[in-house]
Amino acid sequence: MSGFAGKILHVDLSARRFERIPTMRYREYGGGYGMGTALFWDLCRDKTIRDGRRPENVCCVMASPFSGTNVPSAGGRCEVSGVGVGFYPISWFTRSNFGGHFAAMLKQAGWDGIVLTGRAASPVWLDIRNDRVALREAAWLWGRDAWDTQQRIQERVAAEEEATDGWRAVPEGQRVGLTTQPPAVLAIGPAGENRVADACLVHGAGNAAGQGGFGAVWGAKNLKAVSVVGTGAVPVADPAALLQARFVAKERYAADAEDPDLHAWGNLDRAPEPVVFVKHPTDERRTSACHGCINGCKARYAVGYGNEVTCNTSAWYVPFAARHAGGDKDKVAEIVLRAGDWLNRYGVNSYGLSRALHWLESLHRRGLMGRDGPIRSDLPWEDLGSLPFARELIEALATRRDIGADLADGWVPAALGWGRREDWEKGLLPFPYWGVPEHGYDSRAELEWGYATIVTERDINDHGVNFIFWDLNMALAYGREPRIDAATLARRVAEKTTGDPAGLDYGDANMYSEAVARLVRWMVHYNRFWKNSALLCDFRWPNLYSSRTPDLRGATASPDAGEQVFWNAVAGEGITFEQGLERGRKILNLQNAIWTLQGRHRDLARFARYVYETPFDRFRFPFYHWPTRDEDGAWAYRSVMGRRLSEDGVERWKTRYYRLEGWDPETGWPTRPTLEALGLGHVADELEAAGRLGAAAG
Amino acid sequence: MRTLAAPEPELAKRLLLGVRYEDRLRAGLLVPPRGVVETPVASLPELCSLLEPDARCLPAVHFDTLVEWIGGVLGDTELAGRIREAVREGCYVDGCRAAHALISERLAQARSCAGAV
Ligand code: SF4
Repeated sequence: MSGFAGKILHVDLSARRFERIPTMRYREYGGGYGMGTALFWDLCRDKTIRDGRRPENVCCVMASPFSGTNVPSAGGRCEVSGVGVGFYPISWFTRSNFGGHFAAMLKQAGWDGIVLTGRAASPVWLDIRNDRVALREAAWLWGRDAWDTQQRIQERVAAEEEATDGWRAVPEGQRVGLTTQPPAVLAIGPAGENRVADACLVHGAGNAAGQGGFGAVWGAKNLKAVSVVGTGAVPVADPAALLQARFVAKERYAADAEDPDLHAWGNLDRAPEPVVFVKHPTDERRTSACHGCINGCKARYAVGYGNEVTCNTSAWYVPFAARHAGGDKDKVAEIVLRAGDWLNRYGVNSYGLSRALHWLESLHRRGLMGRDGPIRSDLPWEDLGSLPFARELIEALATRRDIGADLADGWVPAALGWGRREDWEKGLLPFPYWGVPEHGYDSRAELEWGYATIVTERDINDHGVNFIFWDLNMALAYGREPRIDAATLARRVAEKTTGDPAGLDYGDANMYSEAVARLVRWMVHYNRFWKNSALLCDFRWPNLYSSRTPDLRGATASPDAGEQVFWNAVAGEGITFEQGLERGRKILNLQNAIWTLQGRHRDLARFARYVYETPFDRFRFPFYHWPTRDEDGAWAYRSVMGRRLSEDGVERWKTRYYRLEGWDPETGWPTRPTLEALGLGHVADELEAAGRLGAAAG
Repeated sequence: MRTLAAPEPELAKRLLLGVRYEDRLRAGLLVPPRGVVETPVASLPELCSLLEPDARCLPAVHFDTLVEWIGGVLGDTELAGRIREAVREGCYVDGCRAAHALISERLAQARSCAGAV
């Protein structure tokens, strides 16, 4: 069974028992979210739970066949799944993902994933050394931050292993394996211990599973950390084919590290550059990457702070620090990066903060929050923007102190509890779907992002189609000719996706069309399998088009470096790209069955009011162009700003989408014919028994 | 390039100290692939920092709104007029660079004026 380690570790925390689950049983789900979903279905005794902190929750931490290999931008991603925390109106069964080298180490230790059930009676950490597994008492770690926890566990494991000349001996079956590596540790900080909705799982300096509240899930399970050290290797079915495909990906599609094309179109050919929003604090830095990535996106600095403070963690505090520092970019960088460190240490997700901190400030400025306001807060709001304020705020959120007490169950629930529904409905608190923050792409302009989110369960965070926004609008900003014209781009994307270029027409007349529904459907099936289960990194895959190739075609589905080429080389299967998508469809159907049991109905799949009532204005960035067609069908890049979504249009679009999926358009629930055709007849039985099986089309 | 006339001390002070919370300029920062981060601006130093050329991210600001805010809210009609002229030609990034050059010049003037008072 190539690619897989062959077994999954089931840890029953209540009974302090371990079980080995043969991976073979779940092989078709690929790994990651797919396997996590199937394991949840089989092991969760109550699928109606709506809060991930319940002991019935089943939390999976899953690798994939790619983990620990050199499949480009895939070997180091790791997927976490289970019922989440802090959503609105229901915390759905959901997922999150983090990078680094945890998943690779897990595979090297001989495991494809970990399933956590029940709740430990007292704090524990899970110690995995190859196939030796122990639950160990964690009172000495409880209260420590995520960095300190990792370091202390690494020190303890090192102290307990024999070492010679830097090589440590780790039992490996009847033999002894040798490694120079410390264990990879995934830990919660105080936020997780206090079971707050924004709590993350943290690995290394800044690899975090942030969305979904999985830190709170672990805290509720009394699980402080998982440590794993492995001395094995990942069995690859056809190493020569894997190397060949990697060379092709690097030579043909990826950026040339020596001479990167900074204006290239596509995502595999991005220059390896840290995704950091502030000035680097020093030139003494290096790019860091997850295991096996061909173009890393994180940075480590010689100054001793800000390591791997990446993407949103380097963004959320910028506006406030900029004001506080009077625009001094060096000071701003230091405040922001150090604040990012505190987030990582306390284990707090930055996404909610990045959207909600403006709102909190406005509550304070309006006299609604503060020492004398109706919402009591003793935080020094006049110091907002300073590093001490950031730390105090993060600490309050992580420990349920001050406003942290109300925010522990999620941002939208807190807003409603404070009587501020209006702020949410008007978009002052821009949480457009499921009570989670807008990512940076507005659903009124960027259709696939919003639609894919409301037909699934969380901020979709899928940049596959979204890279068009960047490539095109950056070209416009720099006054450059688009590298690919609109008609060609639509054709290239169609070839890789639905076959219909009309799906990429984001013009007003096509916003609610079946073509757009087909594109979103493709994207969701793709991400369910290739991205969230096989664990290709979202920053680099799918590669739908590429200005680096003469025919402008990207690597996705290609015969030389497509997803299926890597899969077959590693896992020894012979699947097509489309069969991977079909697996994604099966995973999505199983997930929809879980959401349905949790209480999902199509009436809940709605955007916040402002998305329907307020036009998307252009105060922030003057461009928001997408490919569109005019009345004569001619393609051009045009602005999609200044519009809103109509309720009626979105409802029509949902009906189209549900029909395409073979779901009941009245309810959005899965139907028996669809489930049975996917080999999920037992799922249909369970839905029927619960009175929640969708009506099949007559 | 024509230089800006030196600002009156009162204007210099206003430019440096900034405006009330509710009068801030709505603006943002844009970094691929994270998206746009809302970054409201209250003062000239903040604006100067937002518009400073940076290979990794772009300011997100609408020039009409910028000009109106500088002229109307900050009360610097000369700077607003010069920026309106400067951003007329070229692409968006050229416009940001041109606006940044003028704002830097004004900031230096305001700082020296404030220092002299
Ligand atoms: S692009 Fe970044 S997040 Fe993705 S695999 Fe590479 S280093 Fe990890």
